[in-house]
Amino acid sequence: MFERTKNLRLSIIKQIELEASKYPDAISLAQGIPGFDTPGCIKRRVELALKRGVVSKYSLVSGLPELRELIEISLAKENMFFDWQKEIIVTVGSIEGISATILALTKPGDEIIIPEPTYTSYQEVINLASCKPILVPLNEKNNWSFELKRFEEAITDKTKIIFYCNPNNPTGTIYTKKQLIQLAEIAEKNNIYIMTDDVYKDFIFDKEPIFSIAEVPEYRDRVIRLFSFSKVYAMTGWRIGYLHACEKLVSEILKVHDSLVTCAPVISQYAAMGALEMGEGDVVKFSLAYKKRRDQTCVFLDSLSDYLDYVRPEGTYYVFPKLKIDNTDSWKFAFDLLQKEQVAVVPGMAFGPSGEGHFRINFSRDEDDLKKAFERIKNYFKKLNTSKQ
Amino acid sequence: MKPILKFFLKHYLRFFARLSIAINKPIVIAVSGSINMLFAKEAIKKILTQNNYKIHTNVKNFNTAIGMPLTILNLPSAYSSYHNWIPIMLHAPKKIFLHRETEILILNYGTSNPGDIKDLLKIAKPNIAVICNLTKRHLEGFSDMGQLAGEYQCLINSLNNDGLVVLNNDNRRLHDLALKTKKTKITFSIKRKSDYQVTDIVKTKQGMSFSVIKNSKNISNIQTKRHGEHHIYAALIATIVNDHVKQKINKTKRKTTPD
Repeated sequence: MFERTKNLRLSIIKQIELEASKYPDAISLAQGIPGFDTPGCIKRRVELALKRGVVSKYSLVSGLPELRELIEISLAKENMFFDWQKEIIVTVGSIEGISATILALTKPGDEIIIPEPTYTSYQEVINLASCKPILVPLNEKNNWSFELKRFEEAITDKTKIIFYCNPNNPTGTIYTKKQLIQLAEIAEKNNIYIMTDDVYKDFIFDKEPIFSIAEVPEYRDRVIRLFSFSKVYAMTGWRIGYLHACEKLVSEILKVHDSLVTCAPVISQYAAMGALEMGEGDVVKFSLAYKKRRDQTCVFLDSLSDYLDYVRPEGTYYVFPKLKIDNTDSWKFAFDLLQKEQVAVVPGMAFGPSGEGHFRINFSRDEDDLKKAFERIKNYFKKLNTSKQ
Repeated sequence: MKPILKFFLKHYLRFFARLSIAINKPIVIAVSGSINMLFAKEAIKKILTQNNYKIHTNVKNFNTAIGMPLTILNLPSAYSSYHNWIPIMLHAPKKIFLHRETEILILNYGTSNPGDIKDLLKIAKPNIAVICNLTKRHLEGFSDMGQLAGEYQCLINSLNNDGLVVLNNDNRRLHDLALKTKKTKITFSIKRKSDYQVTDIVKTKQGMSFSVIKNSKNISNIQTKRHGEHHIYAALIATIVNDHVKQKINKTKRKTTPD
């Protein structure tokens, strides 16, 4: 019974949120929800579509043509050239695109390499496809960067895909162009696909826009790039995203996408059109606000340097501090903090073995909430220090 | 936006947009069709800019009764913000002489309801009308494909005697329109014999390359980083428009140059 699901676990992030809901005054810095509501221009686009009566029927399996045209145009602005008719699929958030891709490109027993710590749900999807996640630790001492040698060592004849998130959730690391090109060379040499989940690509604080392997024509046959509107346009509830890859791969992924969802919700596809047509200004506004909140968070973490160490995030809206206290069990810490000070954070073990001893803070909440939460965290460590004395 | 305000805004902006065209007399290129409008517009813009024509076109996909005047007057949209429309409206009269230097105005003509094209023609009558493709997209506003095709027929009918219609010969409906029309027309195709055709399409990881044939002669070899058949159509359209504009502007210059 339940052979396929017996090894799956409910996301630890959801478990923490569930626990936090029992505390009426809890401030949650756990789940990766953006700190803003969906922009008004997107809502107006949806209202218009509703009035026109165009949202009640299925769209084409790969999505509305007008949306895919806009996606092609938006990709071209980022130096990625893909055919909207044959190389782009509109998906139900990025997670459905990830699931469809893994199911299409692998067979049971295949191995998928993921650098860790990384987003918790990747491992579950890989397990669901009866594949094996091979975790390659990132180098915390070098700002959580790739260690290419470790990737090479992890490759076996069963390796099918290398799958990473850039900028990385939960560390906020941006992988460099040089590192990514070297990784692509390894993939090319070993005939492995690359999946890149770029959902936080617009929240970059100190660097130039991120580089994607999908920009390099030589690698376009082995790269599947995924994007979600959830974070960038504050649309987590709309469940809409897209993937793009070469025609040969997309035609296979499309079959799985069709079997799983028929098409992405049409009302959300219109919302995505609104986002691409008119949402640019809001993305800039969000990004500036998150940068300010990142700086505020770093000032706070600096003030707790006796208890915490951290790598300054270059992107996303997360920071991943390391505990410098006696008991560094991240699960116990997260639940203790919630119980004693009513602040929800995600235990680092949720993101892979290298995440143990850390916890993730989502700093996208508004400044006042962050201030309150930081006061409580500070109290927690002060009390911890007092009880030790 | 409330209908009464929308009505006022539409007519107010239309007045200044028409005035601007009447004063500056640019060549107006209408780019229309159910799909590929945006890519065709970009390809036309690129080729004409490369050939040093002074052009103006829409930055965004502004192709409605309010969007088109905004494009012509080079003004942004305030969407549903009443407050933000005020400075835009105040700026409109100042933009009339914006196109003193503009030789060519490239505009998208969109339709999602019967009469939309007719409404846009009240703002700007084109000298060249391009119809990229005709599919079931936006059909929900029409009773059938015939009524939708009627919108494009209306665009063709609006052309003066020296006007030109550029039609996709691979689309059955547009092929029929091409056969029927008495206006000067140029057809293009990937699949069937037409005025402008393509051959030797080669697709690689780096993009595509192909040759454009006119009257059985290879007139250009095109390479693009883009992928997809729609970019081949867009390149064909741009080549046709460029050839025609070259002739038209030469003719105009000859007429106006003193002996």
